[in-house]
Amino acid sequence: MQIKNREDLKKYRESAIAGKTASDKNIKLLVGLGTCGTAAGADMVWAKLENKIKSDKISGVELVKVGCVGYCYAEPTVEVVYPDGESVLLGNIKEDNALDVIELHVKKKTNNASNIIKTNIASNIFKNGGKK
Amino acid sequence: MSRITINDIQVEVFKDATILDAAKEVGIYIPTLCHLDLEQFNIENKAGSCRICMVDVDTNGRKKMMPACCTPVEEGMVVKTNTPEVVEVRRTVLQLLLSDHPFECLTCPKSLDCELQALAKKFGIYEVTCTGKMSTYEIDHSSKSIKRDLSKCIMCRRCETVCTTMQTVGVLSGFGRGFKAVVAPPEMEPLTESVCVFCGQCVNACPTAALTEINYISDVWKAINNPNKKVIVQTAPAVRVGIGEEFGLPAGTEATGMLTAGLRRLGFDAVFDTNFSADLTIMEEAHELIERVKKNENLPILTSCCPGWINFLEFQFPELLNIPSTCKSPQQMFGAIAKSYYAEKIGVKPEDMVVVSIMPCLAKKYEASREEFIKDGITDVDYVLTTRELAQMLKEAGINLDKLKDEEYDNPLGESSGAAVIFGASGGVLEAALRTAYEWITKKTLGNVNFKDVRGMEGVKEATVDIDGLKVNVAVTSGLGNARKILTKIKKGEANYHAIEIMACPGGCLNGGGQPYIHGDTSILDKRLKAIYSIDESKVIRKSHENPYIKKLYDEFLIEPGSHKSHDLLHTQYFKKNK
Amino acid sequence: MAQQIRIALRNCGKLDPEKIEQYIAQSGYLALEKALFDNKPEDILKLIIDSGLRGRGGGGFPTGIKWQAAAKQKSDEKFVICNADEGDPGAFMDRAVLEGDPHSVLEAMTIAGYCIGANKGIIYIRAEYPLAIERLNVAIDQAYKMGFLGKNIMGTAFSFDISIKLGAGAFVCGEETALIKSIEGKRGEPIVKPPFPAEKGLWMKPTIVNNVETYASVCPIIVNGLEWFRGVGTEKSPGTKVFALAGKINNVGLVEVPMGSTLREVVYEIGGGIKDGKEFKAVQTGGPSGGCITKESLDTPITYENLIQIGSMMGSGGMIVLDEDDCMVNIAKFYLEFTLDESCGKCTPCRVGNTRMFELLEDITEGRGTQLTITKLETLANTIKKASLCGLGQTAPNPVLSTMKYFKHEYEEHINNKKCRAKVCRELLTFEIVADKCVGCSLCARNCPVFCIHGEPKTPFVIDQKACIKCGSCVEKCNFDAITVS
Ligand SMILES: Cc1cc2nc3c(=O)[nH]c(=O)nc-3n(C[C@H](O)[C@H](O)[C@H](O)COP(=O)(O)O)c2cc1C
Ligand code: SF4
Ligand code: SF4
Ligand code: SF4
Ligand code: SF4
Ligand code: SF4
Repeated sequence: MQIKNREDLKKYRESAIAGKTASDKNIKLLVGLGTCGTAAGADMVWAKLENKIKSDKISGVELVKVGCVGYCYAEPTVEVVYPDGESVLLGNIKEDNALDVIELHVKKKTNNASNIIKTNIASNIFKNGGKK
Repeated sequence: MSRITINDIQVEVFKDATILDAAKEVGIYIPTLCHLDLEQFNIENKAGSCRICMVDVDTNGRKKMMPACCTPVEEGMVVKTNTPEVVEVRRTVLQLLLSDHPFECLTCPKSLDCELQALAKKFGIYEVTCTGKMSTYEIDHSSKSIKRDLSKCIMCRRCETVCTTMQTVGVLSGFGRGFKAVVAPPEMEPLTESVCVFCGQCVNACPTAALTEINYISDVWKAINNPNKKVIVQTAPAVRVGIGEEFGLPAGTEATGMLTAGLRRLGFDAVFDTNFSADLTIMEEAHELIERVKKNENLPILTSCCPGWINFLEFQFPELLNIPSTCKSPQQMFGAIAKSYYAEKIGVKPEDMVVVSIMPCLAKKYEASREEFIKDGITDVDYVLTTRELAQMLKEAGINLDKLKDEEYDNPLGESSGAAVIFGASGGVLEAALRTAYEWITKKTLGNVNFKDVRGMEGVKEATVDIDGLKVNVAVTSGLGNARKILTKIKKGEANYHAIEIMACPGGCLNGGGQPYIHGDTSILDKRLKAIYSIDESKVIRKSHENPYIKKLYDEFLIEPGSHKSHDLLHTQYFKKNK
Repeated sequence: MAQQIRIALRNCGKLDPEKIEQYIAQSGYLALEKALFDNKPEDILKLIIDSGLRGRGGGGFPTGIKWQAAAKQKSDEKFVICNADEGDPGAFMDRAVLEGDPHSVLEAMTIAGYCIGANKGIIYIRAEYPLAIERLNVAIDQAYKMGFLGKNIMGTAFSFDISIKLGAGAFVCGEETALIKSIEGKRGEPIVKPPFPAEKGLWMKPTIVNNVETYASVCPIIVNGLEWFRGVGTEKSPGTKVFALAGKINNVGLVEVPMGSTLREVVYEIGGGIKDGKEFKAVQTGGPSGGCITKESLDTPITYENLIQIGSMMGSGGMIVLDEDDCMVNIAKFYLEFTLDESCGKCTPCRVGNTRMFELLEDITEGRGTQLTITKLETLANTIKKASLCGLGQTAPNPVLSTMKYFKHEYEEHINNKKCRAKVCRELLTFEIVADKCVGCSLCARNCPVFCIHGEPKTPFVIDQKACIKCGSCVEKCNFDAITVS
């Protein structure tokens, strides 16, 4: 759509936020697909996860392609964000342990898996969370 | 106006002046090397690359060393040009330049004319303290005109500015990076693979021997010393107002008589003048001009005596190949007449005759080798020496030109009119043509022969000349950047001229690529210019068609301008050159 | 525990860079909205000046002041350039931003255009960043389709276009004037300043050049206000800085921390400390333009001024961590070699001077150094810093000067004792066979390329020191650890 005035933008933003709120109800798997992630094999991880979600018809899970998070030493990375806002950042996810993401972090919430780099990374820096 | 302080002296200068300008204003010397200001032509190399002119600058409390040649003044600036720190930095920079420069001054063509050498002397560098690897490159001898020795290139970029900004030819530019950076034709190809027109302006600009002329001195010595050859010499108009500088005479000295005397001392069998063939050129060119103006076709007619500009045309404007006059340049006409008319007269076979030209020009070296000017293995002109090379030969022979008594040219190819000598300055060819064309068209005597509107150093001059009611629009350009402007206009059909003179070198041949180095002092050119017109002034005969030897040449040999014979000997054609 | 605060990287790893709706849902294009509808260009300019935002591309020049200089110029055309050349070895924060959050840069450039009165933006990005280029192209396309770029943005009178220009990847093309020449299709080579680009830049028109990270920090300031921004970092260096941690550190990668964080926090708390439990020696910041920071300065707050004071600089944010196995003379040589390769060769001090400095360093690492070598290095460094034409040359001697200052003893060991304590400078090493350990198997002798190991089988072998070329192949081959290196 073409934004022709402020009203348009407001409407668009509202719908974008609504879309986000709706998708936030899913468990989101943010796969780092920047140059470094891709070089480390994140494409493969993405494909594995995608197939698994399809084949097992897992619902309430959304794969999101994101840029580099900065954890080069642990690429590829997948951050799992839960509907309640909590999150775990998983590092060194390779083809062989990609499905652990589903088993350990989607099907259940494991907080002490060895791949966890960080939990609950603050996300939005905007004071008002983007609402106006 | 901005006020600044240099070494505690207050000075007020124009807003866009540089620190160097301001320093000059108050007589403070700051050494420079890459900087070149061809003030007359509005061309300034401000690469700021050599870093020899560094000075201490305090601009409202911000202190920094800055290059004086390209830092604009700012109100309140405090400049120090000679602190121990500044001196140390400059010396180190010079040391660095020298550390990557071959130590060949003793055998270098530029020795004593080299700005780097002069600076080393001035700084009192008696030992090179830093040493290390040196740049080495193959010397480019590919052309007949210019020798490139990149091991002596100091990356001043003067040649680049001249070739690209002034001449708009754009052959020379920065190539390679880091320690290996040099200024060269694209992809380091030899000059002959480029669109270089051999104007030689880059050679004039180069402070070192990275760019010099291809030297034919030893060939000429060999010819002179060969008893089986009749070796004759011709001297271009601009040579006589430049050569004196090489012998310590003040710029603008008219050295015609000394020049002929010197050439005779060198052992030439006959000393002739290109001015003679310049008169001949006017006969042919004025004839062509009148024909074309009368028929009002194929106008404007462009002069064709400058091989640098002809090259430029052949590379850059191939669609205009038909508009220049078909006349050969005076140098080539001379050779053609010498090896036919004169050779016959004195009973020498053309193959036993050697024609040497002394030219202010590097393109003429190339021109002499063009295929069109070689017939049955006989070249019109055999060797072309520059004014500088001639000076070198004289010095080798121990001849102090400045001490010689004036002598006259030999005949029959030595007599010339005032119209011929002005070929050496921009506007001269056209003025000479007008003097003759006027009288031929009107059949009246031209009272005032001075067409002052077309004289002087400006890049583009225009005038309308009233020839008995016929309004003839003329233009004169010098410098290829200016030529490009005019040619583009012609191409677009926006030009309304009958005749245009084009010279590749700004100011004309007096500033040719083979003249004594001026090291950026364009006031020297003014002096040469004045000398040229004063020679013209002093002549009794000032119109080419009144030259008695020219009349005789037509009577005895050529019959009339535009005759079959003249076409055969004196005219040529042009070819597209691929970029 | 030190925390990362993500301003420039706020959306990286959080949203799909190819989905503009995700950007908008995260306050995307809110800053542009505020700028165009609620503010005059002067207001935004003042905000950016007051925020104290400084360039993240190296020099730390106040962004607002630069914009103001360009805004003041009267001209029919002005340009906004984003410098994404990122040639500093080891730095990749700009790539991360462009790959992870391209709209944040487009939005900020548009705002910059609005502030200075420019209608054209150009992103100069190195061709070696194909993914970033692809994502930028997608983002630009989206922005045009939605009316955030192009004619009459969001129905206002302001129009702005952005295009991409691919760089050939020369480091010096990151220097702003060289970058401009390169965009003009000329040889990428710096020119003398002044005039500065803000007066006479691209095509001689007023131009601002800013770094990717600088642009990425602009929108949050407009959305959250300057108090918020100034609340992060220090008084003179507000906000955050992204660093690329590399070298002998556990958590190699990108971190964004408030200005004024200490090196200790970055290296130990965020970076996870030194690899393999080795001893920390120094951190090189500012890449080839910077210098090393030693143990003594681990607690110095990282700000533009502090880093310069201790002989380094912020640079684009590369941080290479060095440990006991690194030879500082060799490190200096490594950086200088990089500069040599990347110099454009235009000016004398950099073209010839750095070559000479490199040769002097070689003298030291190869055992030919004397005290005079040090003196010569100092004189050259001084001249090169003062007399070079652009930042590349002016800063090239920094790694040498700073290692000479903080690790003088290592230089002296190389010169006086012909020793390299980190065992890096091969020419200074001595390979010796410990008689007690050698079983006389002759494996080393058979593998020595110059056959300088002699002995009878079953008795200890001996290395002929004069002939040894210090290749190290004997050490690798010996199965009994019988060969020592010192
Ligand atoms: C040799 C050299 C390389 C540079 N490379 C970059 C670069 O890759 N990216 C960058 O943003 N700035 C680079 N700079 C700095 C730029 O010249 C310029 O100062 C910067 O882009 C301004 O942006 P900022 O004020 O936002 O930092 C470089 C400077 C020098 C001297
Ligand atoms: S170019 Fe100059 S400095 Fe170099 S060798 Fe020739 S005269 Fe000497
Ligand atoms: S001779 Fe003329 S055209 Fe050729 S490189 Fe030199 S300046 Fe350029
Ligand atoms: S060739 Fe001569 S004029 Fe050209 S850059 Fe080199 S030294 Fe300067
Ligand atoms: S202007 Fe004269 S000196 Fe220059 S190239 Fe032409 S003929 Fe030669
Ligand atoms: S300092 Fe180096 S990179 Fe900069 S202009 Fe000089 S030679 Fe080129």
